[in-house]
Amino acid sequence: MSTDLAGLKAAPYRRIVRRSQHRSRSTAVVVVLVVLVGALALVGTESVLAALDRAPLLVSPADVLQFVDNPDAIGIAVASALGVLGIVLLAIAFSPGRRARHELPDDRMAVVIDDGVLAGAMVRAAVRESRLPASRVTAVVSRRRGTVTVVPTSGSLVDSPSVSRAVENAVAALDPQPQIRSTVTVSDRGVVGS
Amino acid sequence: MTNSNRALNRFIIILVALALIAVAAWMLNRATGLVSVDAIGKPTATVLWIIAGASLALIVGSISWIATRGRGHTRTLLAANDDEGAGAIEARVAADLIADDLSRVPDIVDVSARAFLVRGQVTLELSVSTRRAADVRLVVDSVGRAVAALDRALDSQLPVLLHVASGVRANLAREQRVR
Repeated sequence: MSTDLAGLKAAPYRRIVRRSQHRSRSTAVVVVLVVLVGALALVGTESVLAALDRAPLLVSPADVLQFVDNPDAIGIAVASALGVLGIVLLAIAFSPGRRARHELPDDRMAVVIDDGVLAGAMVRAAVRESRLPASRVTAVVSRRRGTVTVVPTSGSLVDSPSVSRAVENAVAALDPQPQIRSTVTVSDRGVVGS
Repeated sequence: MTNSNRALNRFIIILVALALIAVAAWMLNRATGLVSVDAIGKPTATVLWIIAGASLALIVGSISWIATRGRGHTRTLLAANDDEGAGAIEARVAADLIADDLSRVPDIVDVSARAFLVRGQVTLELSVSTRRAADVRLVVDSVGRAVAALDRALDSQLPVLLHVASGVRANLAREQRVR
């Protein structure tokens, strides 16, 4: 084997994992820039037409500036809308942009797993332990916690502690990073039949 | 795993946001007269030409930025040159080898592979879609074995990113009952 794995695990893998756990915001940038290009095309064209003393296509720059300088009720509404849009864009830019994914430790590969898959693994563990049909067990995983909900069959008890233990063991075996705390909730209303 | 510059992506969004907020603030201030500022007034021909030129420059810049998103793929996984000639292995080969190895794992619905250049190093990104309530350990270990086989076939260890996904296709796929 030519490449040295220890060195390879360090720097590039950190970068790869970090980049796959966060959004690139490329979609947001492309949408913003496409709208910007459209607006600028109009601004540029109208400016050239006005500079050459030709009639405007839609509205002349002088009229636009007049509208901006002396806003009426509509102007205030437009300004508010622009301000809100600006704040939304700031929120997009500054939010962490995390994807719902966890990292699993592995000797050879960088492993990133969707939270949905992690939830599936918890469902699997709960189903095995409780012997209920898979359709009765659901799980939701967020960044630091996983919640399994079990709907028991009416009249039969679910051994909640042992299901909890099974789920915890399954999570511990995978060791997702950041670590998640698992909880198992047994619904107090059962369902008839199996 | 493209090489898009994410800091600049953020920076562009911030610039546009600040421009919008500035226009909004100007208009609202003029409407309420909170701080007294002079009106911008009528633009002269020179100003109009400057605006037109700036718009054109920004349009060109924006379009080239849009066009360069999502770069960083590479088709070549390995290239070897020696006295007897040159050889290259395409990323498709790796994808096929891995997909073939994993076709018998019941919890895996789909495998796809793409190669990226990360800091000059070819990196293999494997995406695996799984069924609902898949045995994640089994899936990861199976891929690990397939990658080990690939390592032997290529006689080198490429960095590998494995993404275990719960895609739409995985959710639509026939559910496997686990009892």
